[in-house]
Amino acid sequence: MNTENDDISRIYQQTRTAGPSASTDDAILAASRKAAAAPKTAAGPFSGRWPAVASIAAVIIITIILIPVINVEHIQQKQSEPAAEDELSTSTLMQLSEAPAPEKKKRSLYQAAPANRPVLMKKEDMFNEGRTLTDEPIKSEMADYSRGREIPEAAASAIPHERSQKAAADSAPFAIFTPEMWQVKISRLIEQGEIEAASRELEELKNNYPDFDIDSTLLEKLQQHEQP
Amino acid sequence: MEDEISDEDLMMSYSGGNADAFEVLYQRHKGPLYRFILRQCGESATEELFQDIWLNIINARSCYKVTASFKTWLYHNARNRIIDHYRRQSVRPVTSETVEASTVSSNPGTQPDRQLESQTLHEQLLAAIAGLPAEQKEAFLLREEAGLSIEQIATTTGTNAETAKSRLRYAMNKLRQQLGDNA
Repeated sequence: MNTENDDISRIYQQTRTAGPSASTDDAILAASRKAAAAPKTAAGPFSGRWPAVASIAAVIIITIILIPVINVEHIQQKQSEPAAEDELSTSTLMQLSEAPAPEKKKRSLYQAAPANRPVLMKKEDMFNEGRTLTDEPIKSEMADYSRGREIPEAAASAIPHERSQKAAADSAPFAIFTPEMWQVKISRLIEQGEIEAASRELEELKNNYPDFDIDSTLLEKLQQHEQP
Repeated sequence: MEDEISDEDLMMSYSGGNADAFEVLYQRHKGPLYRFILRQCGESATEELFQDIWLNIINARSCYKVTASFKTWLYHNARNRIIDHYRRQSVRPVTSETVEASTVSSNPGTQPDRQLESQTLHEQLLAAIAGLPAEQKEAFLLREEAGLSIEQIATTTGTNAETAKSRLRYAMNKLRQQLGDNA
């Protein structure tokens, strides 16, 4: 068998005479010399595959940039949601609470609320809380404003920035009164000697925020003043 | 001296910028490669395919690795190029064109009758080769033209040694049958 295969190979070897033309030889050799003479470009590890590597790098970079942006937007969106409820600053309401308690308490709308949830009060009731005959200009001015009247220029200029902001916010029928603010108001009433008013406010606070942990110092203060 | 330098060293030398090394390589392999293409694709397409394959080798010189046999690499490239040619043509190789008009090497000492007999035998063999199935023809040509071993044929064609061996065996059996008693 191998002998027969060898015969076939021998016969075939005799047929191997065909080859490329001279012009083909010249063309190929010329191309090889030209390529050899060309400056050699450094073939890096990613040569030929750089588009894929560049695409992967671009995706990574874009992801790294976008994730913080998305997080910031999400946080900003969350922060903007309670902003509508916190129209009045604590300091503004504290200033409002400086006025003495009224002798006559008007009916006010108190809504039972869960612990620490701000109670909506009618603006007039909140302003009437602690009102005396000696109203501070700010109160009357703000009351005028709430009734649609313009604040006189002199008075307006005397109004601190926070109070003017408060005036704008008071155009709404209700203002937000948190239990903490309530405590501050009660404390001031005690300091001003308005013990009865302070006691009434304390009772209202307990009714509206039964789960709220009232400051023990405040309770002691009130008890000291209530005792003969 | 040039024959002592291996194909791999010549190719590495060329990739380093030595154009003369490529010329040696080219002179060594141009004939077998030309006939490898000729027997499979016919005369009309051989020149173009031949040039394309060598230009691919030139352009890919920086990618050549020392660990790869140059011959295997060369014929692997050639095979891919031929497959692309088949796909573009959407036909199998034309077998009638592979029969050369004259395959007898000139030998003044040969008797005219023997020369004619030899020519007939050569034509018969080439015709028989042209009639082989593509895989068997390819295996035969890689063995007889390129001088590849069974393992190298398997590597070049993307098969295993057993498949390459059986293809070659079938090709030889068919050629023997075709030639008959004339072999």
